[in-house]
Amino acid sequence: MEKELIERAKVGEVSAMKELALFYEQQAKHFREPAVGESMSIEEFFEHMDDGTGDKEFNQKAYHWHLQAALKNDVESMIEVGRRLYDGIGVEQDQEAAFEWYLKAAELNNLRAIKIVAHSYNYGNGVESRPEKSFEWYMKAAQDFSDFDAMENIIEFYLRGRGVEQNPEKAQEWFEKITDEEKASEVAYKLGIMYAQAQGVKADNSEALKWFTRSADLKNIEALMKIAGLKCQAGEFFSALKYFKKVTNNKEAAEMDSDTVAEAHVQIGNIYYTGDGGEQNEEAAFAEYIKAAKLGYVKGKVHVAKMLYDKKDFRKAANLFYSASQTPEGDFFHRQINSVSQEYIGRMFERGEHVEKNLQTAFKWYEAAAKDPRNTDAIFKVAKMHYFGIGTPQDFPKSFSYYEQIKHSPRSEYYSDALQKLIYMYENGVGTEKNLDAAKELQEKLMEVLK
Amino acid sequence: MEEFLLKASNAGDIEATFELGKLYFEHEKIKEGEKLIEQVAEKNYTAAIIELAKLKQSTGNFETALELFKKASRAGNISALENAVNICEEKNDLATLKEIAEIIQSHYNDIYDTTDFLQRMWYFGSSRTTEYLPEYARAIERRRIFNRIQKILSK
Repeated sequence: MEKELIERAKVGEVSAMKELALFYEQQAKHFREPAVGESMSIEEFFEHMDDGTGDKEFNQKAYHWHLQAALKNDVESMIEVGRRLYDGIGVEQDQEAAFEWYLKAAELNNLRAIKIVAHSYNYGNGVESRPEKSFEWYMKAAQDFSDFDAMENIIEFYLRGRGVEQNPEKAQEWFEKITDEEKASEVAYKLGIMYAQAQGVKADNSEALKWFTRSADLKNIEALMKIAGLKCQAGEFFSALKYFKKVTNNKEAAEMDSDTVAEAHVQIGNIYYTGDGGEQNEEAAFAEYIKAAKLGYVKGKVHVAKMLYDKKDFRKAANLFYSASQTPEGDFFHRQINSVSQEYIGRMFERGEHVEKNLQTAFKWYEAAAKDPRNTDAIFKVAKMHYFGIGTPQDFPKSFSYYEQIKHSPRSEYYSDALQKLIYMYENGVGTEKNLDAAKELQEKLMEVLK
Repeated sequence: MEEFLLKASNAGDIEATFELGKLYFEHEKIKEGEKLIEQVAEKNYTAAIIELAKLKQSTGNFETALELFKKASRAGNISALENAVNICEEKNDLATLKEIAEIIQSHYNDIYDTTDFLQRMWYFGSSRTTEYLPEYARAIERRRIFNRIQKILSK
């Protein structure tokens, strides 16, 4: 087959050139896949380790035939040549040359190429960044093809005054042209973020709110949450509750995105718990936290556990904290949940609440909790236990290292106490080298805090 | 332990002095214990301030207790805040309640702050917030206590 394709390609048959290019592309991807039972040496393995580009020789051949087809004005091949030049696949990387090929394809009215060119001008990929040219090409994609992605960019450009004179009315007009509801909701949401985060525009909560509201009208629950957050920030808690409840009442959302719904329950719970905007209502708060917990939301569990702990229902609190502390630590959020739960369990062992008092076990739980550098409660406790040899052998250097962590958390309740300890340790060379300069520096920080 | 605490205390370790004071209390050396805790409280060690405040409260010295709880409140201690509000409510001390409200407002309480809140929400790609940082959890409690003060003041 290969031979036949080569023959046809050599006489200028574009379809043969494209088929050949595809053939070599596939060869490049599968070149080093060993057959069943085949083994390869370690050297071979590392030499041909998949870097996402496949075998070099086949890629070079693929590029060659894509280029031949592109030279015959095949638009798809032009884009493929551009892509390979941009990433350096089968050819030496040349982003400027890549752009030229994309431009050629765009000038032949290919939508994908048009969008790439617009993007390239926007971000300076292989060409000097020229927002006005970027705008022109997005406009072409939007007008000639009704492309919603292009429309999204045009809206942003009008709102930011990028590449075109700022014109919110025109932005609005283009927004109305996005007839796909899901896309419109997504675009409105992004625009809300743009204003909330001052991304290329002046921060403007009321504009953010307007766009989030549009997004929410299109049933975007994330937008509803953002609106509720903005309302809270403005002190409009009744209004915030309304939006949080739109999220919690959304049955479809509960199935698709239970975490967001659960978070809404937690936020409602917080409003009731703090009494923001009205009477404090612990019972109502507890009920909302329970709903969040029932959705499997670990943060909901911890809220419930905290309230139970505060009411001295240590047995139930212990069970919930333990369950929450076993969350797989996938991310920042879950590490934090684990840390808080571990700290409470440590507290129960330290004080003999529901469990038999055991300082060694308490220490282990505090130590686990202290792995989260934000949990200064746990860190301070571990520092102290190391220092005084409570539940663990006395260890001044370890104690010092834990106290040191707190000096980076001026918002911590233990900040000034930790500073005082560190001053003493530096002045007396306890757990660290004596360092009067460091002690003096900390003393100045302490004076600032105590002012 | 007592020997170690004494040695460290004499070397200037105020935390050790505080722990020694608590140890004396446990051994019913009340006067000695209170003296040490007072010493440490004067050096603005928060835990000692709170301990002393509770002592004064238990002996009916509410004025001193209140001053001490107010002091500890400045560090952001929640139980100190709560205790201070309790005393003020009982004594109908509205002026001090307003002071405590100001102390609360001087702390970070913006659990609903748009930039911070939304930035966190946006950062995580969802509506999760980081209010379980202990500082943020305390911010929630401070808001609750602040609202409680407003309710008392509005009566």
